Amino acid sequence: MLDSGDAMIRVRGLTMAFGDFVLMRDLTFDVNRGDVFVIMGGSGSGKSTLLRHLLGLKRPAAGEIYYGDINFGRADPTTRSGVLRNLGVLFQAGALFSSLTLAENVGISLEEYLPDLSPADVRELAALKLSLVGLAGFEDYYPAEISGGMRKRAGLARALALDPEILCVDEPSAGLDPISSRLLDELILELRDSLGTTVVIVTHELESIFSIGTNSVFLDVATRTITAQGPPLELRDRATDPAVREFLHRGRISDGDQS
Amino acid sequence: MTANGSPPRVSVDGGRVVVDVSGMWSLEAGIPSAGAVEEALAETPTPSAIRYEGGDLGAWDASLLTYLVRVGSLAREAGVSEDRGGLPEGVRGMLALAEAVPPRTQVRRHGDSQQIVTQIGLTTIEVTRDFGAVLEYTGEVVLSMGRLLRGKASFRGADLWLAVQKAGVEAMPIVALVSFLLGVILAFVGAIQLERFGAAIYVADLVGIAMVRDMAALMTGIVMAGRSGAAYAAEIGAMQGNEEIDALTTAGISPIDFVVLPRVLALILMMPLLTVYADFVSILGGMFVGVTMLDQTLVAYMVQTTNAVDLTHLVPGIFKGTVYGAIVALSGCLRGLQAGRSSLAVGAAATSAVVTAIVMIIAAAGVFSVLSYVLGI
Repeated sequence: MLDSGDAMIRVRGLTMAFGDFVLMRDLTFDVNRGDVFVIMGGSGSGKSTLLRHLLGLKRPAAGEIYYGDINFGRADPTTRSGVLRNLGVLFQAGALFSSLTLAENVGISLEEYLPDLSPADVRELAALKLSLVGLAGFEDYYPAEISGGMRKRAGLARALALDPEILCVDEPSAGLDPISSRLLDELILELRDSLGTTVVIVTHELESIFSIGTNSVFLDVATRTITAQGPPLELRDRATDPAVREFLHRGRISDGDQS
Repeated sequence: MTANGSPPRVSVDGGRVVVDVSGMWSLEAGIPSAGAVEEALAETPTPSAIRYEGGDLGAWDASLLTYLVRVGSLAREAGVSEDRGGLPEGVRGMLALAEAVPPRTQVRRHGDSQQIVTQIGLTTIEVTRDFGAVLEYTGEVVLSMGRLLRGKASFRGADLWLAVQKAGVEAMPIVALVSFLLGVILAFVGAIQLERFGAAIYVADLVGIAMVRDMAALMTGIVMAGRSGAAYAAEIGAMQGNEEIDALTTAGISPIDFVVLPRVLALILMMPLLTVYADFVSILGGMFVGVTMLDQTLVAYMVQTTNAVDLTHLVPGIFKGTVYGAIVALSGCLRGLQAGRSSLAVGAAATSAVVTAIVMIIAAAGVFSVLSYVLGI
């Protein structure tokens, strides 16, 4: 798998640390084009922190992150913003800007990267993106006026504003009921299929992991590194590491399985 | 048989300490001390085990479990084993659950007590880092202003006007109240002293010069620190907690341009105006005292004031006010951006913003006084 030519993101020997406290070390993996790549692990294993590293919000204590041929950590600001332009992010609670309407929220990165668009075009594009996530007609609502699930979908519309090549999603099911969270999963899959987006998802929701994940890494709290990587369903049936098996079986490992 | 509240019976049987927990257990009756077990363990020459007996155990709750955990830790200390065979299955199950929690070594803990030397060292490191962060941040704001001048900043005009309204127009009542009262106070203090020399008319000079040169800007700065500085820190801190700042960064928009710049500009624009407004209102305050209490005529007071106060007082005052405004906005936004991700952190950010702003304002006022003395302004 490593060094495959089609890797969108390559992570090499990444160490994540808060000051002297090392959270995870020696993370090495590839995210390939068209993958729905799941970053999984128990609470406190650093899944979201890994995502923040991928987004350049935190600096690696050691190791490199490559987007294509670009070394993200060492890139100059212009190159970095070029990388970020191809990244859409859906944060855990949507992270909509509370002082802006939904249409303005979606439009803001359009305005930033495509300054030649007229305000009317921006609004029309924003309305289109909102309708893709089922929020047509809510353009002029403020984030505080809509429900948590809608906020999340609006966040997804904003993440998709620039038709990113890579969509990063932090805990898609957090705070959603099972039906909404499944709809969100389906929406993400549909977007992947129709737009060819590569998706990186941080989650510990087994149902999502198995239904949409095509590749994954497992961050182990005890050893502080990746203990398994591969398609989640395969890991569930064939993983040798007991922690991975326990996680993917909700702590219930049946005696009949090989172990 | 243990009645409600009386301690469990502890006896020694050969090398074993026997703890009889029969009876009723309830938290209302309190949790018995494990002292008897400790004594029994100490008295037995070579204790081999602790055996529990609970044949007649009645209703029980967490008090029993807490007691057993206490005894259990005594047993571990003494290096003896525990025989829980005599306890009902429910109790054994709960104890097993309680003991199954793995030690969480990977979570950082703060607030461990430290030696004073360590504390001094850590504080020094923190202050040095903070100083570096302040420099970096100030530089970024300056760069951002440069981008604004070149028309390249991601800056929304609407945000600026909103900030102008909140920090400027809506601050007028409180600024008026504070400066009017300050004018009144200064006039009274001055009148008591000056009347002794028959120079009560110079109250107008005192109020005019003191307020216009220094006090109006200083008081307005401090009012704005409490009003706008704290609000900025809390707003931005909450945006930090909601990952809005991260969302801006990943959208390729500089948070400094988008969040900090409108607020800093609003205060830099509004503080000179508020300072002049405070000058005016405080002179009114002094005039009120002069006319109603000191039997001066309105015209005399006004003439005295206009003779005393000129541009060499007004211009430095306005300049100081502008600097204080920049200090308030910069420290409010900085503490907000530095805030952590919890609701506690938002409060801490607001507090820290006000403290930083007031300390910096007073320090700046000191520097200004020395400067104007040296330069003879």
